[in-house]
Amino acid sequence: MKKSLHATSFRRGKDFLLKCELLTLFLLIGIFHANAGFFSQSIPAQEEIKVSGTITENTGSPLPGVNIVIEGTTRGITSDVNGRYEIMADSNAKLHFSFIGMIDQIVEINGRTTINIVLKETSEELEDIVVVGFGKQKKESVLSAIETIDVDDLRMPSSNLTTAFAGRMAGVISYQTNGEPGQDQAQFFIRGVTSFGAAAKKDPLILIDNVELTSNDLARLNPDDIQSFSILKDATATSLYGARGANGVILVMTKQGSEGPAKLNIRYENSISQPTRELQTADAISFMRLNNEAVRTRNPEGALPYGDKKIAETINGTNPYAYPSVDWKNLLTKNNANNQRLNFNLTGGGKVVQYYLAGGVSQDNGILKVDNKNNFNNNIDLKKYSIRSNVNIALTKTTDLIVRMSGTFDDYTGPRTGGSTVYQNAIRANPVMFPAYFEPDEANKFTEHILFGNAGTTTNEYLNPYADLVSGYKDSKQSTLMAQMELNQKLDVITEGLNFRIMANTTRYSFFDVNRAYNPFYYQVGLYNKPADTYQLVALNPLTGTEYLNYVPGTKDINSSVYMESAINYNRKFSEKYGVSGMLVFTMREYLFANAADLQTSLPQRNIGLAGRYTFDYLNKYFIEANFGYNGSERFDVNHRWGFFPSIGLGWIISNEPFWERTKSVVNNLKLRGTYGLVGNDAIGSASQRFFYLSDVNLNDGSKAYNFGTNYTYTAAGGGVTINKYADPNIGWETAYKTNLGIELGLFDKLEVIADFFKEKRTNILQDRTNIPSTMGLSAIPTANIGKALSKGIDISVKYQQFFNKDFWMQGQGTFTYATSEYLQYEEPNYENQPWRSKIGYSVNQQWGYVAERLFVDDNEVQNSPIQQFGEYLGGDIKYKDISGDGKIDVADMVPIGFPTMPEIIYGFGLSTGYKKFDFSVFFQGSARSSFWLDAVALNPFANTVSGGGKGNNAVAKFIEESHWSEESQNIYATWPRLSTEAILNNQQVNTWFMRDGSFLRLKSLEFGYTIPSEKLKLSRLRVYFSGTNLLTFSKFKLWDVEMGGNGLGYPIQKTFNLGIQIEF
Amino acid sequence: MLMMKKIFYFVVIIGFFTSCNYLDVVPDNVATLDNAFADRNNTERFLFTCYSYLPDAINLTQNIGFYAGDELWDIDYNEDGNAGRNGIMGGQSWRIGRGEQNSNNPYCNAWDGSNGSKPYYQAIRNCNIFLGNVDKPKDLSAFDKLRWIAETKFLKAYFHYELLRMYGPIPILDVNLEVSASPDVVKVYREPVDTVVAYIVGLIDEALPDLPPSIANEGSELGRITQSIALAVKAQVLVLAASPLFNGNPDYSNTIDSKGRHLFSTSNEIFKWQTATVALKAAIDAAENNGVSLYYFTDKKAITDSTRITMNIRGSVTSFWGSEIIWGFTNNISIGGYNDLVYNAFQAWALPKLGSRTNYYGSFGAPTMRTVEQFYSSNGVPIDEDNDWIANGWYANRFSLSVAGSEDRFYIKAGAEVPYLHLNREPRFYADLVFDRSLLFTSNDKNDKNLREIKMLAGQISGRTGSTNYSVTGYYPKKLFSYKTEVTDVGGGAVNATFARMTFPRIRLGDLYLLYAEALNEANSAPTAEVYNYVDRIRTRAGLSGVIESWELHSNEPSKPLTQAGMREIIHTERLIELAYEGFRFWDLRRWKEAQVWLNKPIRGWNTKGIDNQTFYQVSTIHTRIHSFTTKDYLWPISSSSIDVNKNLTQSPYWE
Repeated sequence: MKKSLHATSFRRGKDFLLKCELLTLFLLIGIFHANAGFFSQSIPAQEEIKVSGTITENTGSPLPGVNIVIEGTTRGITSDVNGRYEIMADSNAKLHFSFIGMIDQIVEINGRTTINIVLKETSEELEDIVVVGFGKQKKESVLSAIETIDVDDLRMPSSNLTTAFAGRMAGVISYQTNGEPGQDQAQFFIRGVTSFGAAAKKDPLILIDNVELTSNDLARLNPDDIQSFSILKDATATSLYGARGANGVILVMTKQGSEGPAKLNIRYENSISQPTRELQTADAISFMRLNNEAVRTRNPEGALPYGDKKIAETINGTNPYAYPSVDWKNLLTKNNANNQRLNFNLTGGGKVVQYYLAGGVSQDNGILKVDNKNNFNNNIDLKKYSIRSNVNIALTKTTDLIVRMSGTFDDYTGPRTGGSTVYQNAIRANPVMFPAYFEPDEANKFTEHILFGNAGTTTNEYLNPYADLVSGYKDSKQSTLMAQMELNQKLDVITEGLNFRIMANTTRYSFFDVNRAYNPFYYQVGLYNKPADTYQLVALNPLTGTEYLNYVPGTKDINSSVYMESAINYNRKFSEKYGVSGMLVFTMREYLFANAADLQTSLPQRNIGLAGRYTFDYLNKYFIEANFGYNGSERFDVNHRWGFFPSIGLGWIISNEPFWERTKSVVNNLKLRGTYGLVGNDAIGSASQRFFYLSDVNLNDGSKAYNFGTNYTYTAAGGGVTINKYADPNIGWETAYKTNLGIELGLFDKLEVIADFFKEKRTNILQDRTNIPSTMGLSAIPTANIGKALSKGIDISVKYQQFFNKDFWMQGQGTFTYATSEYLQYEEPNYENQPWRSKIGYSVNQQWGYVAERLFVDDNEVQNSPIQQFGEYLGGDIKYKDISGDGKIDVADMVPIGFPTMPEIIYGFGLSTGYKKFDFSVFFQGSARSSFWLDAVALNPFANTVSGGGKGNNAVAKFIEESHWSEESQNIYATWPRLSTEAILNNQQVNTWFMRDGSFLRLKSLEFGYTIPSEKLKLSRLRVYFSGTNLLTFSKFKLWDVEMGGNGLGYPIQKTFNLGIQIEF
Repeated sequence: MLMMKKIFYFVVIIGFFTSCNYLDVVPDNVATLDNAFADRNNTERFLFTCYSYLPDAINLTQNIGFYAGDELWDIDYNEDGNAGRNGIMGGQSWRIGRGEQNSNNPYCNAWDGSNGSKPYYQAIRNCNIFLGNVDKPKDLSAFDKLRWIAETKFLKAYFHYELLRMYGPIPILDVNLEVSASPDVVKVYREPVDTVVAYIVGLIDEALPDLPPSIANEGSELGRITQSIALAVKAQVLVLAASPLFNGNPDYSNTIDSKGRHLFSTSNEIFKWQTATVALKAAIDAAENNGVSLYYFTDKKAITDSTRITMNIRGSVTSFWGSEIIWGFTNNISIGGYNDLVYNAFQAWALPKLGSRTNYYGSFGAPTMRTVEQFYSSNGVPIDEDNDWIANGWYANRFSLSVAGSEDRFYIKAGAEVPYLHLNREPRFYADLVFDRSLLFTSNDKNDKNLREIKMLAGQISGRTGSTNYSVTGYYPKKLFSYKTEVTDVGGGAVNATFARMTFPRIRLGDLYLLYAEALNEANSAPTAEVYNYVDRIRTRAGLSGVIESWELHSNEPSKPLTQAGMREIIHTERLIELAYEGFRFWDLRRWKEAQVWLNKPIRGWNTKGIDNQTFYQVSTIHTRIHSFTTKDYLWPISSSSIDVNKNLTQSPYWE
């Protein structure tokens, strides 16, 4: 059996070789073709003329000392202090401008007498060069939808790069739901989500220096280290990454060293962060009154939880320990936190070796309080360290070696439960049952430990979040180490424009955490003597409390990945007329992790691929490009293992046509382009579904054992057999068919508009076979490549730039992304008679729920309305619409409600301006067309929503206090239904009553800077700046930060005020 | 150029040759289905896996008959804060008994394998997998292979039978459909009842020759399928097919599927009974030839005949491998965390609370008043027919109090004040039931002179003390726990519990005898001698005279046994009494189409809150069905989601 397997793979191998040979041939033909077309032009000699001009940096400041040499001669001069030059040269000669740290420019004189030149820093060469898959292309020849981000835009006073994405990048749908340091990653999707496979990878492929890494690694990148940031959106851009590219690719290259004296850049920031908006809760008195109401309104004979005396004494503030009134949130959290970030980079080098070294330290603090009675810190303290070294070595004239090493290290100390839980528990704990801790009574005068409050009879019957928070802490360490080596060999000896490259990388990640905590001692008031105002405490757990810390081991996570890439490249421009390029790249990657649950998941994850690109351009007007990815994935059966993903693109720069000359002063650039192609996705299943072609059989299932024999004791050792997963050799690649039409428009040399229209059909989406009847007898639900979905949309970016004069410039920019999706094919039961239940035609993020008409007027109306099959309900509870008309409310009445759960529109716009040494920028970001739901369970006042640990009683949100149905005011349109101390399932269904609009517009960032004149300080540059994020938010939703959506009770999103200084030596 | 070509090949070839094996990350020895048939041991595991889908006969949910009818009852989960208590033991099947069956999410849903039932279609699929792979192990002897194939075929037939009994027409899963089969292929149809019956019988016939007549290696194989078991099941299937529910039932005459086929036979055919008699005779002969006989208590204890007869009855169900067992239940199931090799959870469920400790001991299944009234008088005829009972007013005053005399001293504490209902009953009444003032004979008793008296008034040891662990009707099923099982108070709130090993019969000979009598009676126009013979064998063991004699001497309808209709009624009653509390009544009432008569009556019992005789002995209604039993309830509904998935399925008649 094994033998035959090898035989087939060998045959497969031959096919594969054949294909490769064909491809090679294809590439070679291109080169020969190009060579054959090469012919020389003879240029007649011309007279000498005087050429003059000014040389500036792109900031507008003049560049003195630039070398200007006439090509082919030794004649040359340097520019003066004002950047001016003057030289005599042939009217058809070429001038060569060069300056250290700047990109050389060669300009044909063509009879002109004034030639002004803007030189660009080498690190900014990407202005005209776009990083594309496995290489770079000239911007004008790029046919695919690639968004290149100005790295400066990503610089936010935050230790998390991903929080800057929203609105900055056309084609990226991004949002952030958590503000906790270390957990505050934004979600981002390129052109939304098209796949609806339950476990399919939906987020983009992230490549940092060509190596696949996680969004976590991306989040940790320091913007100062980034040279280029590209987003690959369409088929032509991503099909090279056939296996993983279907959801788009984010491609980041880090900076490289450049020739020149050492330049040191230091940036230090100090910021203050505080929640943007938090849920307001009712005070303790209202809590008690409403709790009484909640009991009586459901059960007129129910025992009141709070007597008049307790309420009265609490109002009087008799004794805060005997009659507590605790504002847990205030007790647990501070108003703001102080964070610092320091990073530096050093770049420079000679002809042979150039280096870029960078390091960074940041400290993010949480907004949790620390009890000074403890000698440890239980607030969130996240320190991140990073180091990066990129060294380029020119081994020979034609051989370059690049070594990249980087490491990021996190040291975290924080609450054991995580910051979000602290936040949630603050509103889950009862505010009037006991104080957080007691001042010692007479008997406890000499007690060393904190006297935490609790009630009941056992250790911690009730939730005391303060005790939970201050009694311990968690330490965790995370490190990622990356080493990468790349060798570039120019092969001009063979033919001009040919080079070969090989690269290897390994990334190692490790994480562990440990918990340390003591068991708090809990007390309650036994006796309160009002006249003397003294109390006696009763210890609840004198035997189990500890004054020393206990240790609990935590999780450990280790993984490793190894990546190899080798490529051959050919790129040549023949005369001015046409250019060709070809590329063939081979990649392989292995990923292995330590904590696999079983054998199948423990096996290495491997991908292998061959990709190629072939481009041809003619007269800088007509462009054609063909790409392919040919990828193998170990997840699929031998016959489906390889996927071929071709793509093609066409482009036409109309503005380069002769007939356009006259309009060029208005429309300086007009380019049309279109691409079509296929991209695949092999990450379509969960970890346990890894090998679709293998069955997963449990041969030792104790529950499938059976006993026999006189004494019922004989059984087959180990148990019986259960099939957890059926082998399905037919499962293969999820495939995206992507179409992109783009237009690039430049107006007056100042305004640049890029618009892309896209449409993607995603097929072979892995889906559970819901259509398999029970009579098949399957013990596991099989999956198949059945689903189909369509997405379409538009992304636009607009840039406006104007230098009014030497001192005043202005730049505006905006992006707009609209991405919508729909199910085309989805296996579901036949809903012929209830078409509203069918998913076909709806967004893959559509929510189904019940249509709430209003609240029930009274019990009488309840009796006379269709039965709502979710437990008991009364007047004042939510009344649903009977969509199916069958006299009962059940799943058949669920209809699509609201907008999709993920925003369909993300937009952003901003303005930067500078006057002399001052600069100012502002950026707004918005989101539209999304819905979210209030969490009716977590918000249910008085209910216990603590999982594990002591019991709690949810606080009453202010808005519930203000607007709820009560027997006195029977408002059938109140925000909250009739109160209850328990979960009322009827009101906790997904429904339109608790649906809210997720759209918002916010002042995302604002920055004001001043560059101190550097001459006096012997520095190249010194800039101080103030910046802020999330300063203002406009939204209909006022209860908490709207971007957090239904997750509003967690750690809030932060607004920050930041002061920074940037020094360059 | 040459060099460039070389480099290209270098790239490609490095790539390829590494790739050849690079993607084969899966080692050869990952567990797959092939490993399940690697050798004899593994194949045996798979065989046992097929067995493991058999319903656990002592699980109160899986043995649906226990709770789903009107024989045994539990404490209402709405009462006394007992919410959530249902489902501990028999929740889902009891919901059916309470009248809560529905098509939205059916209880004991064997079709989908949910809500308290094992998934029988998965069981059948496994049987097919076994049959398709059993040739693989090289070390499995030809003899074993044949036997294992035969066992699996039987099991496959049996699972179909279980489904047939619940749903009537069902899809037959003779061959497994491919996992990747297209949606059209998997949308199967329900097959007509007669087709299913023929299929099951055919499969059992195929299996029979290779099954062992009896188990040779009892130590490790007792409980595996024998010819006797297969013949008995085949007979049960044929009896079911011949019974009024499926044999020309006019209620189903219009049940036609989307292909236009009648799913039920439209005319009543007597020959089906004749076929059944042949199969029953064969089953009885096979069992008897292999040493199976009605159970008689043979322990040499110094007990009177009164007690000995009750022990015959109790032993027929709870003895350890008693002589009457054709198919005994041997699986080690776990209920409430107990690995139940000795059936302790099951027995604890049936036991009255005998000690002060409350948790775990104390009945969850209380015999209902209806079944209590059904037992014969000491004359062997129904109490409402018994001339003595009528003449003495015992029947009319059966709920009124009398005083137990010395003639009852082996059953009831002499001189105790008890209702007439508890006096002058047949031995099976005393064998099957524990009730207030009744006496409990246990293996610790050297004789029956001074037996333990059960006290069940509210507040007494075995009565209602808290909100749980009491009998909701005032009766406990004595028939379901071994007389060797003892619970004694050892003081200080502790109890000493000894659970005896017992063997619950999936099929016992008494069942076949009565089925045979029933089938013979139906197959012929008038009762034959054989009919009386087989009924009387059961009556004799129960200490009663023959049918003809009993009725002639004591009944107000003395000639009842002489007609087919009269004898039918007698056989039915005999069956309900003999097999009471064993989970038969629920199925028999359906088979006979008598469920509508019985199951719509309220569930009654004594007033368990009564603290003295006057208040305790008041008959009270415990439960009235939530939805009355109608024609649709004779068969299980298919869940509406299953119908959504497969529109080719015709919903069971009258369900929607």
